[in-house]
Amino acid sequence: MLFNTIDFVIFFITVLSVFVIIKNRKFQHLFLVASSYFFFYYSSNYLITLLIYTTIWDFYFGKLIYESTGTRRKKVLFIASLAGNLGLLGFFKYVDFAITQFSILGNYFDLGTQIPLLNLALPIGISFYTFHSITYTVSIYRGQLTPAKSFVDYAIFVSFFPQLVAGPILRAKDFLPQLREKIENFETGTRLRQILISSSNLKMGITLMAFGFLKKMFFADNISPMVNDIFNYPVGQESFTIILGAIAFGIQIYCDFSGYSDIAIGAAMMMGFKIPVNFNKPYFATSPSDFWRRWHISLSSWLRDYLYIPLGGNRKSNVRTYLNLFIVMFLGGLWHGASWNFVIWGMLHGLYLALHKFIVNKFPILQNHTFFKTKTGFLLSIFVTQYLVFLAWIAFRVKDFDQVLYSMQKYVILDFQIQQTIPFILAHKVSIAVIVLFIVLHFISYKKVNLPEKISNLSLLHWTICLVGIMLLIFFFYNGKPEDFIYFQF
Amino acid sequence: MKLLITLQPNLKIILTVLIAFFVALLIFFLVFLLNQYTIEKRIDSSLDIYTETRRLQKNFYLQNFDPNEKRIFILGSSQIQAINSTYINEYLSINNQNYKAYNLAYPAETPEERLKTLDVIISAKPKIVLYGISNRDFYTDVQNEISINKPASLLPDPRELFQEKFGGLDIFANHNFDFLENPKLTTLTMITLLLRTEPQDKPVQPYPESPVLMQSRDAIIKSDSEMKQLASIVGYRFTGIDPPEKNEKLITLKKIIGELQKNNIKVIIFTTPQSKYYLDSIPDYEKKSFDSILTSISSDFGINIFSLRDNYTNLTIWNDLTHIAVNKNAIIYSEDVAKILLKEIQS
Repeated sequence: MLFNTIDFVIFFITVLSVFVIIKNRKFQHLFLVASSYFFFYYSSNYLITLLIYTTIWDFYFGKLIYESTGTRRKKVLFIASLAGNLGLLGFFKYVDFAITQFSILGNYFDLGTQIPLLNLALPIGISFYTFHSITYTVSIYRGQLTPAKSFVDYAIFVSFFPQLVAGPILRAKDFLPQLREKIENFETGTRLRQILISSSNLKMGITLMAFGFLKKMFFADNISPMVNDIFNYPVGQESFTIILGAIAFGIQIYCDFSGYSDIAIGAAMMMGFKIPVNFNKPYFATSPSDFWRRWHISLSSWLRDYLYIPLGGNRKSNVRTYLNLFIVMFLGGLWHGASWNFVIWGMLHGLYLALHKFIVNKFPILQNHTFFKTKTGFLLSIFVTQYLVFLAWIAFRVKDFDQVLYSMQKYVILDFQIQQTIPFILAHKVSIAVIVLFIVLHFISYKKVNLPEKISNLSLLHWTICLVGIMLLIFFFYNGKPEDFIYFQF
Repeated sequence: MKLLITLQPNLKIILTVLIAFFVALLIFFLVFLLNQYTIEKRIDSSLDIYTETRRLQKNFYLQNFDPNEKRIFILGSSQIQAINSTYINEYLSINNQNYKAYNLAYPAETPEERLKTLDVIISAKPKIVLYGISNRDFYTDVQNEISINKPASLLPDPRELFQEKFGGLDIFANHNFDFLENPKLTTLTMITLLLRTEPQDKPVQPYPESPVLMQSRDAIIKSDSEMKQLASIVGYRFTGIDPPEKNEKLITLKKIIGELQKNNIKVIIFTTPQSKYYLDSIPDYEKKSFDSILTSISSDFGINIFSLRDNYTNLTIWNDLTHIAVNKNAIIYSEDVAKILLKEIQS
């Protein structure tokens, strides 16, 4: 079910209304699982069996890991649970990719290895709910979490509909306790908390959802026609067109994905759940590592805690640290999709992080140099970082390898041609205007810290005016066809 | 009571959201409905293009033609409009051919309509008549454009709603809610009209020698994504083409060709170009029916039929699904037509 459809609006209003009517906590939880499964079933049909499989698998493995006493047994059980999760993800997401690579390699050595593709349907959200579930068994294995008290609680954690298909990636140790929060400062001090819709959460949740819809339906969907025109076949485009395309895609994917996250966080907040923030003005990052502290935070912190640190993090030699960074980002790229362009994107970011780390290690004086404390130094840091980030976006967007190379070459080595760029800009005035508006609003948002919170704290009248403004922008610039969220494919 | 007190702030917020939604919806509808009247007004004025073209063409045929001039008349419907007669004349002149081409296309032209002016065409003594045809010219039902693939929309379609609930009431019958299918397109059209400095979208004559009129929107080249979007909104009803022996439009066209040939006027037929989105929507049986029409013309009159139908499917030169833009960047169309003429003149 797409967030930006009437179907979701009706579904969500129904869910909220039922929570107001049902007061019993257990029934509320049962209803939440049922509605989450309905949400998933609505667009994925029989693939819901995979979600149920993951839930059952990790729920019982969690219990077994927790109850086992020997370290060796614990480890074996943990590896088995990981194998179950990653095996499922690998099979459904990467098997055709692996077959293709095998066939190419076979052809190269003239071995005649032509294996037919399985053409499996990619289950929506599998990368996300697999990662959710892994956090549960890992936390139990590390002794940071006790198993969920009931299967329903665990099923809610894995299938919680606001973030089910495109994150943010939840962590069991952050989410599960929310389901068993005690009531405080209310009449019955020791009872477990029901799902209560508080006015402050409702207002903030609605504001966040409105922002999410605005980002997706006004900004992302109105920029996408221009991006498609540039990158569906970029060969022959001038440097400035490619640069424009990279900037436009960077903004599109930010609005698309952070819009989704805002809607998810807002929807969860209205039901009284806290979902971690996923974006923090990434285009104001001053270094590659700063970028990853601001972009898709739930994934980058997942990769850090569950991959980078277990690999040794920065506790071993410098060379090992660079290698770890590269490996983590390589796998992070592959997590996005079974395609070489995502791998290139991941490797580029791995390279940026490793290089940045190398420079910081080699020239520690640079980090605290007064130049970088000045406005010029600060702006230069942002410019250099974003130049590299947008270069990498080209690999993320363009599927064909030759086209990626062409586009990157044009991005790096400028041809200073504008014969095609100017008519192109004139033919895409709407997208350009939307990009300019985004840049202005993004800057205001940077200066004003948390814009949704500020708007949510306005008086009802001013808040209403803001909502009307947002709705009008969406209504007037809606192209009549709900577009998929980019991250749905992962 | 306590519950009511706790619910009150939430109710206030929900009520506020509902009010905001209805206010936004109201503004949205009001602006679009008001604009509709403005647009309709403009469309009314643009309808003058039909009568104005006819008036211009009538005057054209009534003029005293230079008896030494070797004239080429290019006939057909709005799909011919993008053929730049000035360019063709230059091209023929460069190739030492002393001919003068006139684009005599007019919107929604049919063989029946053209037959009414056949006498004046013949009296103008052209040497060559180049006639552009497409499958659209041979339908029984001319109004074949429909709306398809109605997308799932966040906004309910009031037409459907009212048709279901108040089927008997006609209060909304006079309003057009098509803007709900793609509000963005309507908004952009509205902005374009508002920003336009001229008071009206006055038709202009793109080629000085030809009595053809165009509006400024005919010059707009749509990007591929805009075409794709258009294809998702606009569809075509293929009612079928009658077989050659029963097809009234073909019979009329053959009458025109026959009369022209009888008066020693060379007739060249070509099929007009179509976009890939339009071609993809044509069912196979329709393509076969049109091919049989072409075969019938070719065999009855022994003339070559040139096909430009699939020539520009991948080029960004389209104004909509069936029309090439009247734009200098779409000159390739005129170039190909000029080549056809040169080939036929030299043959």
